[in-house]
Amino acid sequence: MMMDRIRRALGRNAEMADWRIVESRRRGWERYYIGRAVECAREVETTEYRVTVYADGTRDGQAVRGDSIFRAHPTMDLSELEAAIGRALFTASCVANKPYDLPLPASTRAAMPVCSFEGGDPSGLVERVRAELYREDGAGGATVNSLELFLSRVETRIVNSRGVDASWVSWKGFSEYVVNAPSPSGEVELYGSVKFGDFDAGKLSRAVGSRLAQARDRSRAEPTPDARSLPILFSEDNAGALFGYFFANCSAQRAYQKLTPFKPGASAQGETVTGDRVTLHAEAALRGHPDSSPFDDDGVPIDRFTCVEDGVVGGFFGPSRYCGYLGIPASGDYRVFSVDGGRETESALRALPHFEPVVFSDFFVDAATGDFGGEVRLGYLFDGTTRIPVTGGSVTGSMLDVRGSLRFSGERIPGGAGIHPAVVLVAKASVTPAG
Amino acid sequence: MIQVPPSPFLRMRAPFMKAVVNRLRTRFDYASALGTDCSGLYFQAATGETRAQDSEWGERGFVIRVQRDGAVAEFSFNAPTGGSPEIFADGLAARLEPLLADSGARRYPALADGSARVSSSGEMESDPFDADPEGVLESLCAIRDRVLGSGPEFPYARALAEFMRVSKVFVSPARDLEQSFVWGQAYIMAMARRGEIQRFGMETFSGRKGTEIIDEMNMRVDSVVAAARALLDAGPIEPGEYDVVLTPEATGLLAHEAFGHGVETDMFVKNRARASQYLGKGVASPIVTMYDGADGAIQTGSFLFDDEGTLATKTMIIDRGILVSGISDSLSAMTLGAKPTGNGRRQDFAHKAYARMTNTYIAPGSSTADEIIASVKYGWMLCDMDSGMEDPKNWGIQLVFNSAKEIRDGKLTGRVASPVVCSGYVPDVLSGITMVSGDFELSGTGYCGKGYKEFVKVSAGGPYVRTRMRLG
Repeated sequence: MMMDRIRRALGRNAEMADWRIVESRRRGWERYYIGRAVECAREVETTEYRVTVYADGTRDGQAVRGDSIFRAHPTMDLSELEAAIGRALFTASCVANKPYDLPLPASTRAAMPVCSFEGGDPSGLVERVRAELYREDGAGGATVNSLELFLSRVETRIVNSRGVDASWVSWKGFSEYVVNAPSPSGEVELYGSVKFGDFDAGKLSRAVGSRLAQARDRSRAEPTPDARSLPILFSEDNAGALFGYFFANCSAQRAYQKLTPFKPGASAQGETVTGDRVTLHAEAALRGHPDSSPFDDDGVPIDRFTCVEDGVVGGFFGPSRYCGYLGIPASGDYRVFSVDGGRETESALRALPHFEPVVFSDFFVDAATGDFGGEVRLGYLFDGTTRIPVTGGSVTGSMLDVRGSLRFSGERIPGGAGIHPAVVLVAKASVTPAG
Repeated sequence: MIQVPPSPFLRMRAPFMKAVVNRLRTRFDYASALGTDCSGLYFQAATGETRAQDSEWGERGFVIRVQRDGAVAEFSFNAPTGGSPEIFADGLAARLEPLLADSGARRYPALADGSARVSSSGEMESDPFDADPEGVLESLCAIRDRVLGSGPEFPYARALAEFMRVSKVFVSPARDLEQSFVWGQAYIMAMARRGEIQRFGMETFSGRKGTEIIDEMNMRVDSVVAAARALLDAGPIEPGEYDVVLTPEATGLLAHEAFGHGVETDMFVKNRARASQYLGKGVASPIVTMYDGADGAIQTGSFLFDDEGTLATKTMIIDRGILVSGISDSLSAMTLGAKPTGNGRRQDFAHKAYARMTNTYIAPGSSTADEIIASVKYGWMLCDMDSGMEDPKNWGIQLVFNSAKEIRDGKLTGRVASPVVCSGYVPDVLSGITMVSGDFELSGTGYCGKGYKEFVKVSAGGPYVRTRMRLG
């Protein structure tokens, strides 16, 4: 077994302070469709080992620790593996960082939620997912132009020299699709994607179905007018991206590197908060989310960690290394989050006049600067009575300007980033009209 | 110059894989194998820590492609295991057969397997894989510390250098291709902070380069610091349509996002590209000529053969304003009855091949950069590309820049806006190009996605150009 060969080879280096191995075994099934025809069918079967070696030393009389990561390919023979370890150990000895300890085995147990994909026939699973993704195809004249479907079963195991031995199985599903709708000036298209970690028929069919409906709306959309007087209503994954600003800035690594303006105990929403107060939790395993994980990259079991509570930074999350640097308890690292709902209902927020950009070319939220924005492929203008689709132009703004006045719904939705309020109303952002 | 050695791993396994595809060829209409062995080094000095480790771009494995009755299937794996080539091939065939069984599968024309036998080793000035890691880190730490020492408003700095040694083989019954080369890239990032305002200055460096790239970095530290400091006073831009001057980097982003994606011919096959209706027609100003090609320049998007075993070319996409050609992978080329242009690329061996860009650029013109700036009554010069997104069906544009510099009465005023989102309609922007400079620069630190994934290394660039765009 490759894992055992790596461990034996690592153990032969007396000067090595510590080591960690992350094994990832993936079986993947992929289908690429043009219309409903399979353009290409693929299977992937790979195993990967990421090995970190640690070297301790002194620089200028101070204790230092260095580390270096290398990929141990399953095809490496013993001499190649030993050479790679030797190179990595030498490289690690050239790195001089503040000392830190690897985590020890935890007494708590952690597990992934049971996944309905487990044990199923792969081709049958792919077909079930495909059928749901195409369920709304053709509705109202809008059709799926092309669709890509990826389903993987990933076995991960993390072991280190201090006795950690964590393993779990996760299923990672992803589909991206392009939908068309006819318009008087020719077809229009919209891009969409959905991530999933379990079979959820409604989620899959709704994801494509909503894009098909939006493509129909884009086909009759008017150019985005001057809407600078209106608040902006963010929905779907765009709403999640705004909350991602708070999640990213609660990272212990960013805090250690002085990249975050957040401080524990201080407001995450600026001096004056007139809107809803954000409560955000880093989460380990969210049912049906493909980025769920019961352990972090060090093999430390993780559980819900509240980063921001009522708008105040509760603490930074991160692996033992960066938490140790900051002198705070190690929480482990996280990939997904949840945000508590706000005080108003989605329908109440939607009843206000607003501009809702639903589909961007590529919506961005920069965690360091707080800037957000993107070109609008489909939006809706609501004047309190009528909702009309618009296209073109762009939205730009800054979280520094809007974070204190965010109003978000009590209703929450699962999205690419985790679970978050369905809609967020932003009072101040710049809208560039379409030409 | 130093020759980049071929991969011993691939050299050892290529004959076995040749025998495997020969065996598969008896059961399928087409069979080929791509083998990759790419390793890299990543060095970084950031606030509070240094790193030296393998690059995330590393990969080692194989992908088999077969075709029967027009249908195409692939299987990706680490390496052949156990037994003879014939036994291994039969095992592969058992995995591939069910993938071809879908009665609704798309039928492509037969994949070509013309005879070719080439081997290429790239050259480098200095071998980063022989360099002393401590020396590289010390150089990067010195750059980082120069930024951090520039004033208390600089709490964060990052200097990184990354080097990839790319080795690939492609074998089919008629083809034996082998290539090895090195590319390098580097970044300097400086973050300036005033209160809660945080702004970044950044410079990038790239090419078929080794550790000599660090010498280039040393010469640009002060300009990164100055850019970050200036951005602390940057405000938003008043939304509207403006005359704009694109720097070579910005020109590359325009060429890549606004038009390059739209001429990837797999988009033609899916009826996703409006450009397919404009072949032979005007799409840009007559002073615009645009190219893409792994063989068109020596940068990070260059190679000898693509991931489908097609030899690299240089494709003229726009000839003096007229759209003349797309860029293709083999399947879309054959569907369209065209010759593949050598643009079939994979993120790595475990990913599908698509039609992808390589080195994409607008050709130089006859003006100077100073003349272009002097010609603008009021407008903005777009600098420091951040990101872009294509819209080939509807020809929308999203380009995001970290900064824009104000031009008034033909002069830069010193006022800076950040960030700037550019939007518009592609033919309007390309047709609106009224001046093109004689400069030519390519930047190869970018990564190109297909949609929002499938990242490959590319370069893009060109001259300074003047056009009109909507900014916000």
